[in-house]
Amino acid sequence: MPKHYRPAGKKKEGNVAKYVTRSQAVKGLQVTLPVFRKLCILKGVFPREPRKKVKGNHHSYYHMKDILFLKHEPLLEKLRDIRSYDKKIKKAVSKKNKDLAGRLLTRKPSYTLDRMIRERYPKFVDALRDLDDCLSLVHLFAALPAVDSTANGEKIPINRVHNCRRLSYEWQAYISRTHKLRKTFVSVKGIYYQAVVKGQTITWLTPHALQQVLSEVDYRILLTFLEFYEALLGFVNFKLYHSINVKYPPILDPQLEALAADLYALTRYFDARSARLGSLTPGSDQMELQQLHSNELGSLVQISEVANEDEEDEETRECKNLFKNMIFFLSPEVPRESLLFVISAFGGRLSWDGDGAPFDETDQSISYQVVDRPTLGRKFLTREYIQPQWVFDCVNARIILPTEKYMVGCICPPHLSPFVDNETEGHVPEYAEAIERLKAAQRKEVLPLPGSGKEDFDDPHSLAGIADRAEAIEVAKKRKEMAMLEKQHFDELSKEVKGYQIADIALDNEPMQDDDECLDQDLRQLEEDESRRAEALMGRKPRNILKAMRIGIQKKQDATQRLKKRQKQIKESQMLN
Amino acid sequence: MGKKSKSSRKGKKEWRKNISTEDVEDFLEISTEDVLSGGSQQKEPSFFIDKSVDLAAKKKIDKSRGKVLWSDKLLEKNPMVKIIPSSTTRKMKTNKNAKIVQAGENETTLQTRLKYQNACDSSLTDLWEDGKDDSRIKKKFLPSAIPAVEVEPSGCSFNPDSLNHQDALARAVADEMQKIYQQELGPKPVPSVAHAEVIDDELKYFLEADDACDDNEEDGVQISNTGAEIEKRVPKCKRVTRVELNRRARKKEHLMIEAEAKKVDELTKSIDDLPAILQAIEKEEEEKNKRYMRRRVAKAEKLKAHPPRLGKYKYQPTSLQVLLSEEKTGSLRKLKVSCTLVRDRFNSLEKRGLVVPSKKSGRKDACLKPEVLE
Repeated sequence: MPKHYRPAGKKKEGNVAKYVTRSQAVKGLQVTLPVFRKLCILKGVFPREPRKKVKGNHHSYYHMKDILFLKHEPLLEKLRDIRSYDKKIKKAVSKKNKDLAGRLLTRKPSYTLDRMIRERYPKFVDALRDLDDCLSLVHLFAALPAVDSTANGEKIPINRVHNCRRLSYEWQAYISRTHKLRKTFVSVKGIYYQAVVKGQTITWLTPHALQQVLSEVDYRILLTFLEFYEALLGFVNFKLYHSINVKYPPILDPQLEALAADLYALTRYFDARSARLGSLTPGSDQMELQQLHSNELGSLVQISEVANEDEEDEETRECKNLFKNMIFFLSPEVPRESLLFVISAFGGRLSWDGDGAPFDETDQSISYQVVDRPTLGRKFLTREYIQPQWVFDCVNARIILPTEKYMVGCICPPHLSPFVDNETEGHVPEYAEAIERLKAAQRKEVLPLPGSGKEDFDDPHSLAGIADRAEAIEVAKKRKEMAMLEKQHFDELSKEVKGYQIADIALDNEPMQDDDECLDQDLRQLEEDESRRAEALMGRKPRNILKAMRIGIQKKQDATQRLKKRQKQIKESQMLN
Repeated sequence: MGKKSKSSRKGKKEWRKNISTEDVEDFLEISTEDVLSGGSQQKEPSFFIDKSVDLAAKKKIDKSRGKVLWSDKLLEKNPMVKIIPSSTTRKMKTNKNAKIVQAGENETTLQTRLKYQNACDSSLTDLWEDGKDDSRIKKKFLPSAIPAVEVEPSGCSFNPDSLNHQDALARAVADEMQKIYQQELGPKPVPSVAHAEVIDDELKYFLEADDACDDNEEDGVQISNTGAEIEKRVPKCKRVTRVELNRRARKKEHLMIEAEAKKVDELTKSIDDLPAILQAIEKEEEEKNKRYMRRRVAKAEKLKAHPPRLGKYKYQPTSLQVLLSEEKTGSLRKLKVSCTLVRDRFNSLEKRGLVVPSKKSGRKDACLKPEVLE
């Protein structure tokens, strides 16, 4: 008697029917494992975790629907065709039939990923949302050395590396041209950038320009991901370039190409396109991918501005004008590529030391020179010498910070992360507070002085302009004072009406203050009542969530209190010493 | 089956009679004649000159050298087609070696070039033209809610604020210590070399003697025990009288009545206790629900940090990349880049569940190992 009896004709049900192991899937699709892996990555099919792993814990399970989805994919047939074609080529090569092999190679079938991308990202916004990973991987491969064999025998073809470089420069050129960069953070791993494109926040990570060491990783998987992401980035760039009326793929000056001044060449191309008056046709310069030297980059000279002013919003304009009319010069030891990107994204102009640079070191109009040496040789008096951290900090703070702390030979103040919201964390580093004060100081100069002119303190917008917490407290106090004065005035009037003596009014000032406190207490009471009522109306689950939130907040506050105590103790001990 | 019927035995033994023995007799005749006459009458020469030639040692490959593909053979009729033999002799090979290698190189570079070109040849168009809307927009299954690029905490910057740096260092140290504790608290592995003393032959006998003594003692005790048991095992069998049987029956009835009464009592009690019971049930339900919620929340929390178990090996996160206190120079130029982003990106792919962790991915990489703080 069989143990598990299933009536004839009845299909499997439950987890067994829904999930298959990887080997079952490979057998079902009738492909080899590497082809299956490639297809999964390109199609976006990934293993899932079923509730009950029928065949054991050591398998990876795929959903049946995903596998059926793969089965009807035309790319599957294409990959099979390519495999059989490869066999033909191999046979011809082994039979020493060079002619046939050559002939076969010219007609090799290939596939394109357009349809795949369109399937996975039906709208452009979807593509933008997934651009984080894509950009990080492309930038990473742009910085890798192209080797013939890595640790596990996989090749990183040099053409792919060049393609990645080209795509990454195109993206950077677009971002810097349209001033969409918002935040940067230089960490040990690499440099994080954040930009806002069409309302989507995109964060990506680029490696430091130093030579990357290859580690033991499965490069086949990475290369498949890279293939997909290259295609995606190509299409995204195309769409973005067209949105600012620039032709894609851009045709660059071959001389600059040879000098590996890609980014500079791209921006020259941009300028040529946007200068519609001259209608320069760079058609005479034909693009030819030559062997590019690594670590040599171009700088950016903005000749004219982008014509799409109406699409810019408040932030973009702010970013554009940060480094306006500032001219930078980069020494050879600073990270040129990232500084080039960042400075031009915020409206600055710069040059560097090398062929093809827009201007020389001895140019008189240079206002800042970025150096990273312990000591300097000769100094020009007309310019300021700063360390590269100044640029990044200015960009994060969105104001021009004083350069005294960043001079050559000084130890710079700490480089803070703009991705961390200090308010929520509770602990505000000292330098962050200094920056806030500077910001507030700058804004005060712009705003009219408080007290003069009609300012409505109840208007939240005007309060929002004041960044510092101390300032807010002051404003609140003033509001109270004003209210108190009003009330006093009203009482006096009423008492006059009722015919009291003026002397009595003076005595009433003290209870006024008590009233004020009572008022405060009443307000507080009201608030508490409101909140309690709201809580009582909540269901059990949201109430528990609220409790958990409160506990979390309390914990954080305790932690910050502890830190502050320790800081105080350290300071005291230092003072004693 | 039964015995065969006694049929005629003509066929069975007939053959013995019917064999002709002519050739044997002829041979015997000839041989006796030869012996008697002192030589063969058939005139076989006893000495002769060997003029035969050995066949040339034919190599196996020569067999297949002559072979030609069937398809090529068919095309033989066409004078334009040149038949290519499957293998060539050594002389020709040495000349062609250099050429072949070059040809191979050219092919691969040609291959890669064409591959690259073909992949990028996809005509760049605006994929997301306005107005084109896919009618069947599938609900996308996101493997994980973890973002693709996670920004590190503030203490990992190249010039960190001291408190943030301490925070990040503490976290890194905690991770490392966790791993160390796990190793220490786990069961000790079996040692490859066991500590033992060398035992001489004389001592070996003594060891065995000790064991034998013990055995004897045990056996003796057992034997004595079994004797006593055997005695106890045979109790006296008494006859059950009618009195006894009646008594038993009455007792049984009593017991049954009592049991019923007890049941009724319990029922009434439980009916009285009904609200209490209901409350108890409610509490249990609440407990169950709470436990369920707790487990769900815990699972969701866990998913935010690492992927579900997708394959044979567990996911192992990379260590936090922080500058050691002594490496904190505050200068971008002096920043020692020791970690590779490749491993980090691969780990991110694993973390989001896009790649199943493999045996190799759990290995320690050459990243910074934090020191223990003072």
